[in-house]
Amino acid sequence: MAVLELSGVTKRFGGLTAVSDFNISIQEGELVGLIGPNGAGKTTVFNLITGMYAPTLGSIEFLGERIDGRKPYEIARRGIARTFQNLRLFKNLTALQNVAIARQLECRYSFFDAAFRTPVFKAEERRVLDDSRELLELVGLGDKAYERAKNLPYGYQRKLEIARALALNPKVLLLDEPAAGMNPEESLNLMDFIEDVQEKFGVTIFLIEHHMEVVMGICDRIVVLNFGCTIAEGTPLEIQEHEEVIKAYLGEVQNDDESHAQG
Amino acid sequence: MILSRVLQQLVNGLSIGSIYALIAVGYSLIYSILRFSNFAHGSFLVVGAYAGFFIVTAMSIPFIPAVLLAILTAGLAAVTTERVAYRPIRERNSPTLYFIIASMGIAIFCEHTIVATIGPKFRTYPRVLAATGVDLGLVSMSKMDVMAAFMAFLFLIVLQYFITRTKQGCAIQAASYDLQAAGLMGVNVNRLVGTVFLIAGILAGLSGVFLGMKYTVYPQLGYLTIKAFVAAIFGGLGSLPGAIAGSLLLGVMEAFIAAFLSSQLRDLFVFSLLIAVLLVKPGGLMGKYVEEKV
Amino acid sequence: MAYIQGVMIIICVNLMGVLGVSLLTGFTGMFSFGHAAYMALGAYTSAILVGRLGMPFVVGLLAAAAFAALASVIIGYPTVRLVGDYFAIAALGFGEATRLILDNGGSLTGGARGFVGVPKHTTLPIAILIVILGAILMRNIINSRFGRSFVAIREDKLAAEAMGINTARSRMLSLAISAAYAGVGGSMFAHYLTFLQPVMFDINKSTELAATVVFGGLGSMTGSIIACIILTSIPEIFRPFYLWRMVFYGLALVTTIVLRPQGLLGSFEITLEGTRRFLTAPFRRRVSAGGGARWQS
Repeated sequence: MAVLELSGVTKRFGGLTAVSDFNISIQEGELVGLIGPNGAGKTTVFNLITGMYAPTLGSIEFLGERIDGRKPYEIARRGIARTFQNLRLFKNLTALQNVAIARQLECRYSFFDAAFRTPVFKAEERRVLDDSRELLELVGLGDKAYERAKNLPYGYQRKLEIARALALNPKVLLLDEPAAGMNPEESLNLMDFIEDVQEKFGVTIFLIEHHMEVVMGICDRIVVLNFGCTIAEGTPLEIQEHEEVIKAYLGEVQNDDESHAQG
Repeated sequence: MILSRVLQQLVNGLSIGSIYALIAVGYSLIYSILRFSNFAHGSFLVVGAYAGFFIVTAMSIPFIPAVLLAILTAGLAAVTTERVAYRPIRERNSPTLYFIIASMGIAIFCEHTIVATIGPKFRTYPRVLAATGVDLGLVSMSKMDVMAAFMAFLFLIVLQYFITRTKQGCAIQAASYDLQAAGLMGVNVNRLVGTVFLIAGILAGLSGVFLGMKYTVYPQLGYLTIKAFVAAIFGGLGSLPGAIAGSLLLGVMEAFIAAFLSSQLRDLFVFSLLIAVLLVKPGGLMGKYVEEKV
Repeated sequence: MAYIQGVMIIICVNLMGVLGVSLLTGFTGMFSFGHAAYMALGAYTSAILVGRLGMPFVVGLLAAAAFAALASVIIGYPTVRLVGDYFAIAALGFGEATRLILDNGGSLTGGARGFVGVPKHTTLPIAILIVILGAILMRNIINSRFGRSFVAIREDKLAAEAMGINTARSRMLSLAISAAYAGVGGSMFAHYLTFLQPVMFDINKSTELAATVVFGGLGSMTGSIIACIILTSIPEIFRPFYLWRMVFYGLALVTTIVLRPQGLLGSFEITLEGTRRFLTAPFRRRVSAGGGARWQS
């Protein structure tokens, strides 16, 4: 069964159509890539899935249930976690707090428990913090638990954001340009990291990426978006030879920096 | 008889509404650029009102040049405020909360500096125009009100022309969509924000002079801006036509409530209107409420 | 001696308000210039229940907290979903509206002339007891999932929402708690002074609370507490400069935010554990000088 299914999803902002008739069906355990030139509407797709925007037309189903029109926090609680293109960590909080904030979703102690520090509260809190620490260990940030997020090196911040998303215990993980701002070596590292994460957490991953070596290297399937429309879909090999994709990317070379087109 | 009373209140409402519009437009303009509610806006108004009062009473300058001098003072006060308080916050990319706190601090500082130096006394502007009304058949208006409304519309038309027809105005329009992007496209952001504060200060100063003439001048005169804030939200925060429409409507509604219900209910009504608008249509009449961009 | 006791009671009253504002502004990132109104509601609620209906002081205190929290829903409900500016404007309007209602409350509130004959219950030991209890409860809330949600919202509302936090509900909760604290402060105030006037709870009172929190450091409860003790006693010492008091508060707000936005302590907290470590540091290595553990775990 499809974990995530988008059918005929369209989003218009005033006169601008950011995403047009977008369809995708993601199966459990898949790693799907979403690529396309700048402004193609990739992040908008993520914002639609996570409820930041409501689609103008179409439906979004998660595990067979409609989720379009739901609030972002409801969608997150159902099991769709995300990272952001420009890193949205809780900058002044420690790595541990960042993860704990997502992790605490499963805590069910009451306000009264918290105010009077009842045994229930203490047990639940210990569990949240232990789980969070363990998660940081797993992603290799174990020794950074008490560092403020903003003081971590950039690559670690990226990892922390992924760890924070994983703390929600999601079924689907949406990664918005996880390799942005990384050099080729770092992005290769990240590639291993993502594959590792998928293996360890058994999560379905949908990712947006500009670094072609990352996308081509790890994705089972790739969808190419241009001007809000899907222009191609297939395996990495098929995409590399797709005529329209090459055209879309070559078109970009003339007015954009070259790094994006290298792939 | 009823008709004449209704028409009279309509005229009174439009007259005070046009003064609210001067405040609300400047306030909305700042909001559209910097995306924060400038609570110090009332201070610009008070500076204008006091400057006008002292220039008219202490110096023997004719009325019109005196008013121009007063509103220029208010404009400069606004620019200085931006330069000294907001620019450092802006350049650090701080959260909106910091702007709100700083602006409220400025408002309090300004009010109480006036209390401590000039004194808490109410001061009356010298009669510049005869108090006699202009009789328009069914309704009458004081000459002062007629002039205030006329000047308000004159300034708003000039502003409209400036924003839509000049290069700097277009830059302001562009910046209201995205200040940073405008900066990247080569707009001098500091000068642009300065211009916006100059305009907002001048409009607030003008309203201060009119309010001072209509009522009196006192340190708490700036609190009237709360009404203009409500008017701006009512019309759609960040939208200039919305600010004008909201102000005129609020002015008229206030006049009717004061005349036909009770003047004590008037201010309570303004607050209830705010809550009602926020509940039903937070985007106001003409704006649309936009969530922050992801 | 009575004078010093009086100042200390006023410090306790202000502390309750400041703890509330600190939670709202310092930890949740919402700014209110109307918190004096919640104090007023608490004060009048308690004054009416205890003074007119003869109920015990404890009932007055609890009712003050409950009523202030309930009133906060009026401006909270429509604004918690919107950006902070709407809340700030509504809070400002709410402050004015409350004053108007109290001014015109007829025999129930005594109108602008005031409410006389509130029984005196707030003694210094009681006031200190309430504040200590309040501070402990506040610390517990901040160190729980609720407190973490508040801070997450302050840091990045959108990311908080994406992490499954119902930001509207959390913001409402933070506002209600902070209003309840202010309400208790109001009740203490009423039963210390024994008479009330709406003008005691005007915007200047709100400014005092906000300036104290900003000055102490947004995100630091202990900073707010220290700032409150300092800022409440200073004007008492310099009574002759009374006229300049509010000028000073306004200036403190602006200059702190512009020059040192982290305030006195930043988000640093002084804790027992941290103090102990600081004092024993010479015997070890003085690495983390005063490395007071933050209130958040």
